[in-house]
Amino acid sequence: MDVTPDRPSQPRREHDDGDHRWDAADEFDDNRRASVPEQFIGEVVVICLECRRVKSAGDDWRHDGQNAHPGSTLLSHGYCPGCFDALLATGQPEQKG
Amino acid sequence: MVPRKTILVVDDEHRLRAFVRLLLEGEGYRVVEASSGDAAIDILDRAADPVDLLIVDVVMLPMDGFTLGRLLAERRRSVATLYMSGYAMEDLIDKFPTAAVDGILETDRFIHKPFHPRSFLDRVGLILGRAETTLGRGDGRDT
Repeated sequence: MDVTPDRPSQPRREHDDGDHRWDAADEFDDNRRASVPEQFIGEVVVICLECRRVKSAGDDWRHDGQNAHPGSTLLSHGYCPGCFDALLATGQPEQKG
Repeated sequence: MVPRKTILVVDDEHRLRAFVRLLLEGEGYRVVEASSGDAAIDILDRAADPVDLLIVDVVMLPMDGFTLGRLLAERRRSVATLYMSGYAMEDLIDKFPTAAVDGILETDRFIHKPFHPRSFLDRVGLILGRAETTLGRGDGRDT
């Protein structure tokens, strides 16, 4: 006998009267969990594209040392406040490499 | 009068979104922002007018940009997409091998951050132009 899962494997259809968005969204839950490669889950570090400072709590950005990002860490790239201000002032990012 | 193209920018970093918005609005595009893949899906589901282009950061949690693109395709909500990342293409292929296999990582659908504004806008124009040509052939847009 099949064990009933916590949630249906197929999207529910009770809101097919035009308001089915949330049911359809449920269909994605498993995919979402599987999206980022497993070895990186919980290991995303936000880093400034310009100065390489790393974002910590809140909007605090700090230099984090050369070896702070092992291969198992996935980097998300953004701009720290200082570099963002400079970007807006000059109109273009520094081109690295 | 040519209608303004609508572009949905999906990035979890608000300053990056703000920069991209600035560039795009300067060119006359209408810009909508989402801070996550989930928010993007929500916006696309609610959108009264079609979104002409999706500009998506690759590395986001909990849903990465490639997964967002794949989920939208599975829902027949494919939108022309430009992926962006601070990683070089070869690093992304290494970190997201499935995306490479699926053909998501095509060079002209990817731009490396930080990008020069002109390069970025040229790429946006190229993809929108191609999407328009495709529509002109009667391929239609999934809504």
